[in-house]
Amino acid sequence: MTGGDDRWLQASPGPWRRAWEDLRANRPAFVAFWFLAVVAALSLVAPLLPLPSPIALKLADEPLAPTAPWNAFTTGGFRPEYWDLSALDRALVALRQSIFGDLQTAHWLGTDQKGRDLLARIVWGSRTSLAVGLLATLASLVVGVTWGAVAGLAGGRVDRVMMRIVDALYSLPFIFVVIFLITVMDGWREELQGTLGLSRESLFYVTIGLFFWLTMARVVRGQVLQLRHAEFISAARLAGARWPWILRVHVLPNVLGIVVVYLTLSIPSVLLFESFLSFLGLGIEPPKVSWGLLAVEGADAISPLGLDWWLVVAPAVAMGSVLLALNVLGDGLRDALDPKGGPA
Amino acid sequence: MTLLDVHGLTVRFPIRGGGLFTRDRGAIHAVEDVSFALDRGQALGLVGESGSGKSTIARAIVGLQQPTSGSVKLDGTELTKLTDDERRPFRRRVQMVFQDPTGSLDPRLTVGAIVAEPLAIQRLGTRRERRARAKSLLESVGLDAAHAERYPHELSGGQRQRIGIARALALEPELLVLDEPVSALDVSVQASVVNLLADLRARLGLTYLFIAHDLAVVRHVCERVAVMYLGRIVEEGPRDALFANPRHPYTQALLSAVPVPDPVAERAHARIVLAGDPPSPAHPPTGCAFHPRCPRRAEVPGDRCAVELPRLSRAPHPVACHLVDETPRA
Amino acid sequence: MSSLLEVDGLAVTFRTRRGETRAVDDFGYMLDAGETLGIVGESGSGKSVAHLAILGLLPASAHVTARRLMFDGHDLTRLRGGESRRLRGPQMSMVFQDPMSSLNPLLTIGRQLTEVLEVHENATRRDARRRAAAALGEVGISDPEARLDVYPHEMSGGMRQRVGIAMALLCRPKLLIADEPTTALDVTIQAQVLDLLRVLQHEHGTAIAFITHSLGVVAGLCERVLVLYAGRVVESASVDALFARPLHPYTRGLLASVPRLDGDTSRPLPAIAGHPTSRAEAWTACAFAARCPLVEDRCRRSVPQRDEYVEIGREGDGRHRTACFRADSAPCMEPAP
Repeated sequence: MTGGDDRWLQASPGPWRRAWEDLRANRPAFVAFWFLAVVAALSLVAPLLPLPSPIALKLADEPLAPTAPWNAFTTGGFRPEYWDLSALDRALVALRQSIFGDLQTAHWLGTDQKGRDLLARIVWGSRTSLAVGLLATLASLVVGVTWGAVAGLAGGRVDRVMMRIVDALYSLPFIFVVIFLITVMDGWREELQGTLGLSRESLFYVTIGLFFWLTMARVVRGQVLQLRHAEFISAARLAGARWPWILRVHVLPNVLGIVVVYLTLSIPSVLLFESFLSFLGLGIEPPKVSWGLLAVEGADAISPLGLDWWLVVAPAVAMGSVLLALNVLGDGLRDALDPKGGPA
Repeated sequence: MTLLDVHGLTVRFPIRGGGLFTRDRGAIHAVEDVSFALDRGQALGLVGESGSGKSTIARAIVGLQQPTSGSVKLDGTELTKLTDDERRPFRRRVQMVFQDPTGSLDPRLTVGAIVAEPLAIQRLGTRRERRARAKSLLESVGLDAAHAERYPHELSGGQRQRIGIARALALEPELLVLDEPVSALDVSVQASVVNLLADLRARLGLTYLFIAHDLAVVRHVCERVAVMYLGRIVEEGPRDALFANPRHPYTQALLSAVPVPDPVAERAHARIVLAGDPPSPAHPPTGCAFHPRCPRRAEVPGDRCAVELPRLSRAPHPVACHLVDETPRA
Repeated sequence: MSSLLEVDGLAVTFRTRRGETRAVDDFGYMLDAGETLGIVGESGSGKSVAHLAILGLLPASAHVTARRLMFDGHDLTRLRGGESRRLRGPQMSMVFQDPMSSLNPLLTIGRQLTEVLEVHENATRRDARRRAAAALGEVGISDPEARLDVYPHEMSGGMRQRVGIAMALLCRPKLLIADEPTTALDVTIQAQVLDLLRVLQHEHGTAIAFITHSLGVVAGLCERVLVLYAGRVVESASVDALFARPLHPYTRGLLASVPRLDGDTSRPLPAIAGHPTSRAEAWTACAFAARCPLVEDRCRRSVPQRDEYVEIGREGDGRHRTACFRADSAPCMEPAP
């Protein structure tokens, strides 16, 4: 038998396990990962947290700057006002009320011009923004990966036609098209709402998803083109495998790495885009909150008469840190998922 | 009895021109009019350098490459005209071992999954049976069954190549096409894999089409050898006869060029050094493809070598050279 | 007379995210002017890494130490920046294995050649072009003037390798390190390139350190041979002595297992068990112990030193050395007094 083999029979991580270890070794990326995990967790359980209502108005008061102490709570006066929540969220709010009662945080980040608690708005806003980011990129993943993989594998005419379509769509001025679509759909809002049950928001998700898949398709196709010539694919064909098998068993696992990286790096784009559209008034509509809307309000807070700095800084820090974390994580993932030669 | 019968096999790759409309601008003559027969249980070595077309022949025979013309018959059945579905049962009879031990194994699959994959594709046996068979295959190529849970990158080049061989044997093929199976391995590992291949052939009664550029390796595995130059067979014959008495000038140069691990012999060796570069398959020379570099060209009167393509003579073994041409000029 | 190149105790350690690897340990040899030395090793032997270290071409993650590293009387470990460049370019030069990756695909070969001359010898463009064309002619490339304007991808592998050799010899270096220059070439082209190297060496008196895994090439080209395994030198001798009386079990195994055109085909090739290694664990024991047919207990406990051996009844000249506890079991050889 082969001597010296014992050294090779040590603990054998699979390629995914190995990637995880590499990511762990990368300090910044690892920290970013946990940071994002915490943010995601908080936004998921937002209804459960002892926060004031994000939309309870107190129009008479001036905006409150955040003041020490930073951990003060107040009791009394909790108004469970929200927009149209889902049944689960309503249940969670009810649960919150039974746990915390009237306890709520005392304006840790101050309030805005309409007396609404900023911290609550940021936390609830994260739900919307992160949902947009995730759903839109998932939509782009499904369409983009399929499109790119099929084009790459099929080759020839099919590939050329499919990629010309991508090129054509690419050449459309994305922003204008989205604005156009949303504005047009606004005109048909009642019909769409009624017959198809589509809200402005879901339209929004769909349009973003429809455009972000383009780069994903190109990236996946490039990867698939390389893989096509790999000998292990020839070996599979030689054993009688048909393309669906090759796609499922060989191609997809090998492009997953690059897809994950691209996903992580495109969420920031989507978030920023959502902010931009909300800024233009074409995105999320009040009373719902998103970070984009907070950015808008923050801009309003800057006036010749005075600067309510916290209305600008707090949403900016929130969004900036999440985007930074996503970018750092994306870079780390790219390094970790890079197929490396093994030991020796 | 003949297992593989190749006749007039030709593979040309069209060169597409640039511009908005793709246009055919000539072709790469990878394989030209190649014919040979393999009996059951035999091992034929196909040797040649880069551009000789030997790898293309391998791919054409196993069905990874569609030939431009010619026929490939396995046990009497014409393979080139089959559709993918019709070809499926033949997959089990002809398999291939690839050159690159790293590229031929999917890095995301375990060794066991790789070896069992052909069985899974052909839907043979239950999952458990396939796993057991994978382990026994690993053992038959000299690996530990425990390796089935490892990933390719954890193993050495020689071990990876053994995995490739195990995979090729999974469907119990009759004909094994080996495309440079030891070229990418370290020297100290080549010997053990060569031994394995010879041993497997004897034990399982396999038929080999062994493609290599290393003549010494071919000599250890095959009893017949065919020498290729620019897509054509220039000489073919029983191993011992061909090595002892090569008749084609290219074969002579090829054998002479092989370095001998013996300084005394090397110093005494009068090496035939060919002039010039190997020709491009896109622009093959007229007449005999070897004539621009042939050191014995002057021995043929006139410019016959540049004009007329030599045909394979018959006895004692086929050679395509005007020097040994028996066909008198018309 | 001191040697042209003296390397002693060279060690190279790589620090990566996944730990430290010692690629080369206690590496060294002496090369005289005009001499051809063969360095034989497989993957993991450190043969390329050692020479990249000598030339100062390793990345920053590589930690290089040496007891002695002298070239032409200069101490290479003490040279900095400009001085180092003046020596390591024109005086010590290298030819690489893959002719495609050692030539810049975006520049014509003429430009790459003239660049060398302009940098190292301050030649004018016209002058450099003339010399570049002459160099191409010297390596047997037909129509050299025209080829100056050709791109690497338009040439065949053999031609590119010849260009690589031309480039390496442009400044008439005293030392040429050739790292597997013919491994990627067809055997008939290899014969041409080796022939070329012999001729050029004869003309210019260049010392050549020829790195390869092929014992056959070494037998035909080199005067002395070094055998590397897992980063250490396991045997060094004159080429005749090494092939006639190999001492180290690895060398013997290698010589026996290489298929030869005149070998016995009726029996399986005597193969070396296992596979080449470069693990760091090798340093506390003989690296070859796991594969050695003569292995003993002491081989697994300590690292054998390189000792000199002589033919029984002859005088030694310090030239045949091997690192093996079992070397005294070799026929015809005994330890030097």
